[in-house]
Parts: sequence; structure tokens; C-alpha cells
Amino acid sequence: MIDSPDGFIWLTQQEYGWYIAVYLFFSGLAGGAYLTGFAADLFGWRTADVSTSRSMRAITQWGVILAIGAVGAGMFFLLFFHLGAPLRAMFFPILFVNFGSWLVIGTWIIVIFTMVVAFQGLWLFWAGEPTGKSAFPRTVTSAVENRFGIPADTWLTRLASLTYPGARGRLAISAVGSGLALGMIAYTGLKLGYVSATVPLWDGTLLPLLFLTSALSIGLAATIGATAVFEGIHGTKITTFSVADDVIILGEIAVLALLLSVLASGGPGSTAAFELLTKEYGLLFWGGVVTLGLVLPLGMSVALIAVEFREDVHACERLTRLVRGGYTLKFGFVVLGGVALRYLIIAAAYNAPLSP
Amino acid sequence: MSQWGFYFDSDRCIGCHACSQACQVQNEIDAENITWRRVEHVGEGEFPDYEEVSISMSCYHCAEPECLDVCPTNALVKREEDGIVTANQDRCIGCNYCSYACPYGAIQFGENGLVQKCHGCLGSGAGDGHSSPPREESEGARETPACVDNCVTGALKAGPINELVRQASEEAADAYHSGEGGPSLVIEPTTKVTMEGENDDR
Repeated sequence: MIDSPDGFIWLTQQEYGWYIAVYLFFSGLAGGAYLTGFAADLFGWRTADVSTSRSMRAITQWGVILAIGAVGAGMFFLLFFHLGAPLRAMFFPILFVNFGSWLVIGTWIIVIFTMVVAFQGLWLFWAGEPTGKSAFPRTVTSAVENRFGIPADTWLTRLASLTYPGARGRLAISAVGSGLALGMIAYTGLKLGYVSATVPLWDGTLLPLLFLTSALSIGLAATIGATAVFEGIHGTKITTFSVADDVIILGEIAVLALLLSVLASGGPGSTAAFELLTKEYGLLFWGGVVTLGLVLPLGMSVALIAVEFREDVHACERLTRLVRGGYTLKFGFVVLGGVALRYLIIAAAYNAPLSP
Repeated sequence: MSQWGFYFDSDRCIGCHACSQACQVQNEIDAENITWRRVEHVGEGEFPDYEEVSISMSCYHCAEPECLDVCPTNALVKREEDGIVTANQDRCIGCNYCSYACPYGAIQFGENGLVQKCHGCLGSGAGDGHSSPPREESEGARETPACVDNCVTGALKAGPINELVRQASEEAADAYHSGEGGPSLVIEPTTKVTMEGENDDR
């Protein structure tokens, strides 16, 4: 039997499964959502308008909720689906001794990021008056306290007031959290990019850039999408955030095009990855990543801006619902495109072949 | 440290798989998808200008192993005594990162989800050989690995790399010396398959 009829030794597919794609997706989403929340926090800090301030606060709250939820989901898939010894991994402060490994660097970034996000959540929901439907964590603790007599709300409020560093201090700590969010996003790309000599698809420069743009895009889409669904679009600067997402998507398209051209013109491993992406997985790539995740959202954005330009959206309830639905759909497509991208980056990751 | 390594001559290899089978038996590897040593049959061209070569591959115990660089827990260790790369399953978390770092597909994961690989028959089975004494002082180690002992044509050899280099052709020795930090493998250039179109991914 001929294993390699083309003169190369093709190594067998490696061990990463769909759950690693899910982990990478949630890690990117967490970072992007937190950064979006931080941007809204800054908008809210600067504005004198009470209504805008409340809307920005709601976005920040959604950013924190999504960040902590996504980190938790990512960790769940990593620990219980992927790792061979998940319980052993819990001892990472003792066991993770190779500080040159991206896995160790990434683990510590995620741990510190999670701590910062947890404190932000504590201060946002229990140190002040949370606003909108994103205030549900506070509603839950109040309900638990009232119904079961467990003083969860009292304890958390006390802890929040004990640790609260003041509005300026909270914002400063959130800035540190944003740096960690960026670090976490970068880690997902750099971890894979570090072994690009073996896996040509994981280009050491372009993959981290692709993951960065994609994570910012899906994080923003998820946060503003959740805001549009649960809080509405009035006063949420949804158009501004949507245009920002469009700019990021254009950047992502440029990076993806560059990656494709590098793969198409590279060695046999690179061209095999190119063929896999664009042909074998063509439906998911062209349909999911490119059309659903990039082109369609841009097209929808143009249409929505045209509607907002011509009509007073808030004057007509039907039109408000239509625009709200349009933005929700657009952001939903962006998030789905992010899932497809990460699945393909893992599924098409074949080793570079060897020559005899 | 005297680096230990492999020697391979594809012109002598008849592709009989005795080496890979011996490895499976010696290390009691049952799973079909786990092959610490495997034989790849590489063909090129079309009839009648067709050539085929068989390549026996395993972990090459690189001088600077890339699998070690990425391992978060230092579960992979390059032994000071002989440069053999062993796996400490008691430290492995089963993240699989090392399997992507290795260019030769040498790192495998068993049903327990933990790393396993060739240890040059310092012991027998997954995870064995780690922290074991030098081959000549060890009761569990084979004098030469099972794959080498079972090679019927002498295509595969193992031992201190300097000795293997001395036995090799000048071309093979030069090729080994030019790959500083790379695999501890002395490989005779094949005369069958042309070297054109060589991998330029890295």
C-alpha cells in the first residue's frame, strides 16, 4: 500500500478536536466582549447625558456577563472534553513550570483576567445600582435572599462595598482588564502560531492577527447584540458600535485574504491547507466564514445605515423593531462566522509533509 | 552527554514492517492508531518511471526538541545521560500541544489521554524509561531497541550518534552535521525517489 503517492510523507492528522475550536471561540469572545464593555464604560464616563450613561452602563454589564460566561464555557470544554488529565491541570500553579510555553503564559493571563472580570462584575452589580435587564445577577441574588433566606445579596453587597476602589479606580482596573483581554485574544493565536513550522495553516504572524480581528468582532457583536435584544437600541450608540464592527470586519477580510494568498503560494503543506479550506471544507469556508460571517454583516450594515439615514427610526415603532431585528441578525451572523472560522482553523490543520 | 540516535538507509529497507511490529510487541501497544514507529511507503512518478521508497520513522530524540519547548509541565524530558527524550506521564495533563510541535508525528496519546512515545526501549510500554538509569546499567532496558534488533536488512541502526556518523557515508555525515539542533538521525540519501519538490514549508 502506498501511503504517499506524491513523493512526500504526509503525517497523520493530530489530536485537537472540535472542542478546542469551541475553547478558542469562547476565549476570543470573552476578550472581545470585555473590551466592548470597557469602550462603553469610557463613553459612559465621558458623557453628561444620563440616558446615554445608563445605556453605556448596560453595555458594560453585558460585556462583563458575556466575558465571564464565555471564559467559563471555554474552560468547561477545555477541561472536560479536551485534556487527558483535567484534575491534574487544576494544580497548574505548581505543575505549570515551563514559563516559555504559550500554554503557561495563556493560563495565567486567563486566570488573572477572570479575577479582574469577577471584581468588575461584583462592583457593577453589587456596589451600585445596576441598570436594565443585564442587572439580572443582582435580581437573582435578591430573589435567593428573599425566598430562601440565604443572605447572598447582603454578603455580596458588603464585599463589593469593602473592595470598591471608587469610580475612577474601577475604571483604571478595568483598563488593566482590557490589557489582559487583549493578551488572552493574542494568546489564542500565538499559541497556535508558535508551531507554524509544523502546521503551515497556523501562520505565525497572520493567524494571531486573524484571531485578534475576529475576536474583537465577535465580542463586540455578542455584546451589542445582547444589548439590542434585551435593552433595545435607543441611546445605545448601536450604529457607532456597528460601524466599528464593520471596520474590524474589513481588517479581518484583509488578513484572511493575505493568509489565503500566503497558503496558495507556499510549499506542499501550505497548498494542501489552502485546498482543504477552500475546496474540501469549501461550503463551510465560503458559506460560513466568508458569506455569513463577513460579507453578509457588511451588506446588512450598509442597508441599516441607509434606513437610519433616510428615516427617523425612533419615530415609528415598526421601523424601530425592524432595525433592532436587523442589527440583532447582523451580530448573530458575525458570531456564527467566528465559530465556523475557528472550527476550520483546527479541522484543516494538517502537518507539513516530509521528504524522504 | 553522548547523544544516542538512529541510523537509517532507505536503499536497504524493504518495507517489511518488522521494525514497527517489533515496537508494538515490545511496548505492548494494542491500539491501531498508536504507532511509535511506523513505515511509510513513498512513491513518485507514473509507470514506467515510477520509484518507491520505504521510510521507517519514529521519534528522533532531537538535540533541541520542539516538543519540550511547548510542554507546560515539563512532562517531556531530554535525558542528560543519553539525550533520549522520555515522557513522564505523572506530569502530563494531556493537552496535545507537543504533538503539534513535533514535525515528525512522533508524539502520541493513548486511551488514558496521556503522552507516549519512543523511549529507545529504555523500558517497555508507555511512560516507561523515564528516570531509568543509563542503558548499560539498567535491568529493564534492551541493549539495542526492538526495532533495530528485528530489522532484517540492517537498514535501521541505533547507538551513540558519533559512532553512527562514523559508520555512515560522507554525504549522510555531512547532512547530519548541517542539521544542528535537529533530529538525532543519520540518514543515508535515497537513490530511488528524487529530492525535487522538497518540502519548503519550513
